[in-house]
Amino acid sequence: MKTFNFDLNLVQAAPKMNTIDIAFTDKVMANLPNIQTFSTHIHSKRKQTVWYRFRHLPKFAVVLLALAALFIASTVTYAVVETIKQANVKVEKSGVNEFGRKELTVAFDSCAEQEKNGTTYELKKDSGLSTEDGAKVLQAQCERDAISSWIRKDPALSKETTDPQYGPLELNFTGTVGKFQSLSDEGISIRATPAFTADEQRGRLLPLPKDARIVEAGTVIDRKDLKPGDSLLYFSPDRAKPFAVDAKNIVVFKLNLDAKYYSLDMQSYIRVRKACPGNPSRSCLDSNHINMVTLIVAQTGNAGWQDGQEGRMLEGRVVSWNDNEIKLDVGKGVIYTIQTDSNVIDTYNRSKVYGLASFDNIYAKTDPEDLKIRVGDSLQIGYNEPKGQFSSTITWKQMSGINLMVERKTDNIDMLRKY
Amino acid sequence: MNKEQEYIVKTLDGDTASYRHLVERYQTGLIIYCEQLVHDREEAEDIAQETFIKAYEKLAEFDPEKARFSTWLYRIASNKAIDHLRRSKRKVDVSHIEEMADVASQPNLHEDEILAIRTAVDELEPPIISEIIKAYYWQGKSYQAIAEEFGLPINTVGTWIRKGKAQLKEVLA
Repeated sequence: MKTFNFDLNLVQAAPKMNTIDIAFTDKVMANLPNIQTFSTHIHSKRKQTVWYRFRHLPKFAVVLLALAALFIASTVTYAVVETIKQANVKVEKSGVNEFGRKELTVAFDSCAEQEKNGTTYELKKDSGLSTEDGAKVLQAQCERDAISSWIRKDPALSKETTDPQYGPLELNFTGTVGKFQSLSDEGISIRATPAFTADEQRGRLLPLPKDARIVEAGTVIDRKDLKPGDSLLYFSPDRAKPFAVDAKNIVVFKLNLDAKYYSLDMQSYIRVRKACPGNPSRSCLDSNHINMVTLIVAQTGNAGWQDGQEGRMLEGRVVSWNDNEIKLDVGKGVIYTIQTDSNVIDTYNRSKVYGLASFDNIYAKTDPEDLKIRVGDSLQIGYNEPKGQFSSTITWKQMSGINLMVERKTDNIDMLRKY
Repeated sequence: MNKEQEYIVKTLDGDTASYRHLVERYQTGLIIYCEQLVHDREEAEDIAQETFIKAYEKLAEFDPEKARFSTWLYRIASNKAIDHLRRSKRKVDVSHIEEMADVASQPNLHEDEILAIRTAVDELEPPIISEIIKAYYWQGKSYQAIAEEFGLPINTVGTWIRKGKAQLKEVLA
């Protein structure tokens, strides 16, 4: 019963602007019995053709209307096509940060994320990405965003509804990304790069009806212009059966970079590093961490909301610890002292680390020994401090909690390891 | 009169298209509910479809004074599921199903709880889990449809959903 409620709560939390299975709705509506006894009103079922709607107008006016519609349609098409721009991301600064991670600062051009110019990004340790790769991943994100916005502007692709209560149906954009292999009568063969399947080398044959569009940088190109190895994003607006043989309005986007940069897992390897909440001179990973989980080392319950106090966060590497304090290297040669009421790290290492079963056994394959805290490991600290005051010594009374920063392994997310 | 009641009145007044709004509103939850009862997606979709059709046929009998539309709808679904299970002679305890219908149809989440769930879903890692959870719970897609869309084996979809739920339970506990 509990699980069941959890499932239904999840359903209930669905955003109002969300896609639904239109095929199911259509099926229900098509099978409704023709009941006319609900009401005394009998509604005319006469089909309203375009001509019927404008029957009261002179014919020349209808012709003018048609021409105007054609003009508007062509203008709109041009405007929509124009929205896909060649995004460009340049590395402005790169190196290894104080936490031992590769990081880069980039400049965006023709990208919706342009306001993030100057943002610092950190790369996951075992991602195997260079900083140049990191820039390409960011560029791929820009391209995906531009394509997504292009799709949303085309009513045939986004299938928006105008329901006043539930709002427009929002397209949940994903698409299949891969390298072009070949064309045939059956469709287009793409060597897909899905995030977590092993069929990358096998390729996938996806239907490509005659009306499918191949789009490169906002321009429709001939399908014969595709060359083996081209990076493609295959998009079908049919949410229920995206790869049905009779799928309509298929669009295949030719991408600028190698297909691998567009995959969801590649995009999870790069995250923003910025000022810690409440602590502008210290550096923290953005809340959307790199495959990050945190293991609670200690929770004090001491630092609730108090007048004149500010909540702060800190991230640093363990230098040493004993019964009374933990020394943390927070970067740039700055050491923080966290005063403790006992040896919280020894306590964690002796007992709590073995409490992984509380994670519903999903990390059961991880050896608790690998999650014991040692010198050099990264901790997150939450604490309160009087407004305007920034001290490098934090008392136990100020503390709200200490977490060990842990991540899921790239090649096996059942396995945890220290970040 | 709220929007839902307006749709019901309009449907009763012969505007069949208004019924579509009601179907759109409840289909995802109802299919998942039926799937939990009969443990088969296709059968669940059939039962949900029959439920909407039955509700449409009987809409004039619906009394908003006695129950919410959602409660009424879930009860119809429960009866359909019980019939189905009995017809298929499966050994399933059906005694709790009607009670579940009442629980299932209660919109008992507060706005802050809804926001917490949405945030937790958005932050699931890796991001593909978030996409899959949204596809299943918010867009009402079957495992099969999700498997095709993401290019995953169907069993993997089940695994990701289980892991996503485990993470959510951990975060939302």
